[in-house]
Amino acid sequence: MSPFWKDILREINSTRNRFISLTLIALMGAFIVVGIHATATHMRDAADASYRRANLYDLQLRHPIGFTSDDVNAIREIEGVESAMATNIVDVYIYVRDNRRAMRTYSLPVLPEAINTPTLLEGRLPASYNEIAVERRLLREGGLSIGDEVILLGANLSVDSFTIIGVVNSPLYLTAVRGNTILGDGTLRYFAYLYPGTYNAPVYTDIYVIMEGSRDLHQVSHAYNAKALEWRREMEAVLADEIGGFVFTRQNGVAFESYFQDTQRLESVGYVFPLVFFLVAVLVSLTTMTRMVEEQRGQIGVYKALGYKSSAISMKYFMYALFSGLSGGVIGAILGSQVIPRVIFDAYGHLYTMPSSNHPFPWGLGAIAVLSAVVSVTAAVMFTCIRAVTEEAASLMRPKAPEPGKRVLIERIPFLWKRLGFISKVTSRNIFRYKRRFFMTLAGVAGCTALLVTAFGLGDSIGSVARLQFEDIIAYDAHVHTRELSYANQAELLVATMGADALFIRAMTVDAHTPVGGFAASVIIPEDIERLPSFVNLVSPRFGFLPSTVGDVAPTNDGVLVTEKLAREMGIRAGDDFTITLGDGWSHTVRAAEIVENYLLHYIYMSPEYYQSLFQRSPNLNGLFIVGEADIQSLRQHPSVLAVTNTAWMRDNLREQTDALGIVTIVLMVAACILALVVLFNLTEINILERMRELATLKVLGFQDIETAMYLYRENMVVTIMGIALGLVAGIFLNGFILTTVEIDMLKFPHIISPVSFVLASGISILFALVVNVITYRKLVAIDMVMSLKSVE
Amino acid sequence: MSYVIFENMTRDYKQGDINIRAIDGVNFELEEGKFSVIVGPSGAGKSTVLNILGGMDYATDGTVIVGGKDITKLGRRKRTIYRRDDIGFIFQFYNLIQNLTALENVELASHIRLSAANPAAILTEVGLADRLNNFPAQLSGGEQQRVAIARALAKSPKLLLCDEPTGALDYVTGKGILKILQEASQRGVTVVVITHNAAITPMADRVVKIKSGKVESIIDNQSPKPVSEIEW
Ligand SMILES: Nc1ncnc2c1ncn2[C@@H]1O[C@H](COP(=O)(O)OP(=O)(O)OP(=O)(O)O)[C@@H](O)[C@H]1O
Ligand SMILES: [Mg+2]
Repeated sequence: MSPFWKDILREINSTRNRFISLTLIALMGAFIVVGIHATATHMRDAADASYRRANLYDLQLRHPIGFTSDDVNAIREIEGVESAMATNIVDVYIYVRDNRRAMRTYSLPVLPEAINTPTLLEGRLPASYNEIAVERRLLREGGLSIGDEVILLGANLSVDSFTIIGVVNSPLYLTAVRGNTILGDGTLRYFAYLYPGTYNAPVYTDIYVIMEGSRDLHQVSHAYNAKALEWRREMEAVLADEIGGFVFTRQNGVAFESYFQDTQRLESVGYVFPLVFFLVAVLVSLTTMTRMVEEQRGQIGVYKALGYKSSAISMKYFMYALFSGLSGGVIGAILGSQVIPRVIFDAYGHLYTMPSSNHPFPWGLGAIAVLSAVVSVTAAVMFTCIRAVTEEAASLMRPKAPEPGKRVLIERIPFLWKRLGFISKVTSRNIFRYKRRFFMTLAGVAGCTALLVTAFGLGDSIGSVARLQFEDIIAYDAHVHTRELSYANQAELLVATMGADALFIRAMTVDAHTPVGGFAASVIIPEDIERLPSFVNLVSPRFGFLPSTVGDVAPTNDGVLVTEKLAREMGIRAGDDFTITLGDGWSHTVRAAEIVENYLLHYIYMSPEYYQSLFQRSPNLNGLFIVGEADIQSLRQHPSVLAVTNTAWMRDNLREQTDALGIVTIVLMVAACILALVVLFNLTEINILERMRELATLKVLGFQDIETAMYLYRENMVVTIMGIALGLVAGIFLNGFILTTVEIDMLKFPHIISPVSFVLASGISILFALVVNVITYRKLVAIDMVMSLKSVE
Repeated sequence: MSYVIFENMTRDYKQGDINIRAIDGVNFELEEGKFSVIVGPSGAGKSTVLNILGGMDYATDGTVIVGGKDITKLGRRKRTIYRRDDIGFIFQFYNLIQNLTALENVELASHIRLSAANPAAILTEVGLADRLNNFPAQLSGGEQQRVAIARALAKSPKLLLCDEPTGALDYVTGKGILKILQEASQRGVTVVVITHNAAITPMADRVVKIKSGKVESIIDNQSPKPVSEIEW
């Protein structure tokens, strides 16, 4: 080995701690970058593979009366259709421990098309009339097992008694959510598969279609989603004049879309956090490498005097940093790609029934991460080396003059300065003496505190969005969707909702747009706008720790109320105009009178008078909001009622979805903590190294170990507390920034950070500072007075 | 009984498998309130002797008795208290704290010692009355060394240990420093000065010559000369 490499290896070995902390920081950056992005990619790839395996549909066609075999053949002939499979979907009742529950049965997909094939987990698939394959949840909740008999109550089944012969997962159910049904209390509990011949209706309820070119696209991508909308439009056009019926894409199934959005949210987090990590890496590398070059001034001078070129001398430090950045980056990338997807996928696993596939190493991503790690660590070397190496050999070999003492600002305020004790004077002077380290420590502590605040704050926001939307904003307990109601219907429904408070509404979906963009929004026109506040809390949005929960926006007749995110996306404020386009193609210009807070979906609240002025007629009511205990059961029986959405159910559904994102924040929090520790440790150690002589002098004077330590710790603590204060403020902004980044489409996260989060973030930072001080205490104790004072100053 | 007694004191430095014997069975005594000089060639072991006497370093073997107590038996804490209460150290390169003014450097010492002298008064005594608020970088070498002496004296030490105090100073300045040290001994402080400049030995009450880790000779001056009469 050449002396050059020997020198570098010896250097690494003799500054092990320094090398390790530099490497660790590079590692953390790469770990997070690769981990988060690999997870998002992995989640999408796993879904892609699983959709392909199940041969998942592109379009679902539904007809109120049903499709005949001729219809199916006609659809197969449509241009662009690759295959179509007619099937039966029938909701039935099943008794589970004496409770009547709604279950959706599917006719088992069969060859040649076999669209939406279930995955067999246990047993076998139904092969005759009285066999049923069920989901594991039914076995668990019903105390059933394979071989048991179950009774199904429902129309269009040729038998009612079935033997459980298998356990399956359905590609149609990614989450634990089963959706709505017209049966019972409206909640679907289970799914099951029956032998196709079991259904005895003359028609098929549904047709699943796979379109040509679908499998050429990644199944979980924007490209696919865009294409699916196109297919849907085309299919609707064809169906309209021949067969009739409705067309749905996968996006209409809530779980498919929310799964895709989860991966996107993850990705947006994965852009911001690593940036902070790499910035900190640059800072730490700068202090570390500066220190190293400083320590070796003499040696650099000797090399120069011997005639080595500046570039050759810098090479050593460059290589040192390169080794560190490279090994940190590579290890981080490998660990990140293996650990984080597992942890997060596990978390999502509780939410989605998505089989994990083996994940190959993301080479492109890994390369980017390693490169970023290397660049952020080595950039500092360039900076520090150029300065040192361009100095003259002679001046390098002379010891660097000690930094002269300087007066600090408060000394110029004699009133204050006189009041400070001797030690406080020394502390305040020292803090500002090493400006660069002071700012680095400040930035390091502030950065870590900000990351902690952000992580805790994300937890707060994510944890509270469901409650805020469905407890604080939406005050109604249920939204009953109906056909357009006649006066007689209304009277009957009023009777049915006796005992509860009901408000009739007209709800319609529109495209709300400005030149900035268009967004799907629900327009709600209450029968009586003055009563709206009892059903929806109208609150003006405000930036702050906690949103107001008392309605403070008055409903109005000279404009509409627009929810905040919609207004923001459209780029409008209160008083501005925008356009709404209805399903029938008509457009109207409306004025936004006020902006109101809202977290999920976009809403426009409009008074009937305003509706009248726009449409020249009064709104046809098609639903009602209910507050209080209503007899949902009898409501459902009413022929005009289409569906009932229960607010509590919506809340729990949203909560489940957002919980998984919480796991991501925990991963980030752990990473932030490790980063905080490494940074503080590194800076404290350099502080001690740089001030060996000063500390040894104190010891010679007779300072006890603890007194010597306090001399340093007082400074550390003051800077730590300043850093924390700064970090808390920075955290508010970082948190806000990340929240805006991760919120997608129609979901908005409240910008709230609970006081507890601030306390926790500060507490952890202080704890870390203490831990680091305790660790470095041993270094202080070990300072050898004789050795430290021997050399020339 | 003498104030300082070295008995068979040995100091080994282990470097891997090699054992370097810096001090090899040193015996000598120093009297209270006297001015002693330790001379010898470079590497003889002078600093090692002084560091052990000052409680900065440990003896491998033998005893060092100061004021009746064996300091080689002191634990870490007691040793620090010994340094704080009994010892004043002066180095060739001053070792002032750069970020503290002259006055504050002295205050640093009085801060930890209850029976400390008034810092400003001591600085005035060493002739720095008008430089109290200057930082070390703003002072000449001689002035810095005087601050260091003031800092050592501020603790009212019993022993003032000086390792080449004039090594980095010119003739006149060095003389000024030695004068201050001699005055201190006249006021009852036991002063020990290391030097390899044999010319200043006439000012000492006792001269201990060390060579290759051993005491070569101990010479007492019956009538030590004042600094002003010494030339080199
Ligand atoms: N920490 C150490 N490790 C190994 N050897 C040491 C150590 N300290 C001192 N020595 C050795 O002990 C011997 C005495 O050193 P010391 O510093 O006491 O000499 P000195 O008389 O003060 O010399 P100088 O006049 O050059 O200051 C020398 O040979 C030196 O190399
Ligand atoms: Mg010496």
